[in-house]
Amino acid sequence: MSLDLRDLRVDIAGRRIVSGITLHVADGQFAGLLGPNGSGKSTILKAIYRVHQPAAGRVLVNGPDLHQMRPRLAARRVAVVAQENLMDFGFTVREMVMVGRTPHKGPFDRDNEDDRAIAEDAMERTGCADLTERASRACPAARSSGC
Amino acid sequence: MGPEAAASLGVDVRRLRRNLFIVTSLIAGVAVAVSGVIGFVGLVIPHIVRLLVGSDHRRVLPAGVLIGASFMVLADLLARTIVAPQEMPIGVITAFIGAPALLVLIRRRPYLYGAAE
Repeated sequence: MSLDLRDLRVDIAGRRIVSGITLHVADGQFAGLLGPNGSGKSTILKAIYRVHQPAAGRVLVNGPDLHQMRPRLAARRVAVVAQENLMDFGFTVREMVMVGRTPHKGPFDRDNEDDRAIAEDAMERTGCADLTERASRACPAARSSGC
Repeated sequence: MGPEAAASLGVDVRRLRRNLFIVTSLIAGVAVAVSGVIGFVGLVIPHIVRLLVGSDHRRVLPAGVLIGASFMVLADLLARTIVAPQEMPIGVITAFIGAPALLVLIRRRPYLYGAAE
């Protein structure tokens, strides 16, 4: 799995926010994006997880351009755990994790045993299996650490 | 969880919004075209349902459908029998029951509607 940004430019409401961003993140590499407030870190990330359409340039994950792919297929390649999430629903942690299965399912598919096993495994590996039945809005720290 | 989380999960938010807009308009339009304007049901039933089953949408939606439909059947029954053999407009019945019910709900919990306690 590799990530490439090629000469990325993002405009929001006609204003240029970032431009000329080129970046290569190799397979297995951890990358942090640092910069002062308002410098465009979040904008770059949002262009990667497809909240913003780039005005120019490309976002390549393992080869193909994410913004040329169908949204559901692109979402199978890139996942995001945003730090701030609106939590107006009384979801448990388990249900919150299950939301991550959305791009792998059809619009009206039910969750099956495979989905449950995958979610179970993810919680096991991130060390939050003991939180599964807690209300997700009751544990903000767990949310930002990947649960 | 918001449009950004939806987009990151592979939902085409703009397309979904447009489609929902069209579908709900059609549903509401067809319903009104068939039955005429019937007030206060959609306004009051969801609040009553919330009192009964809580605010979780996974319960509110199906319960609202059932209770709303049952209420309409009862209102229809009244509309057909009160001045039989004539038929009253059903909107009169629903407004007659719904408007006071709405007032009661508003007075019960002023904080819900932004008024000072």
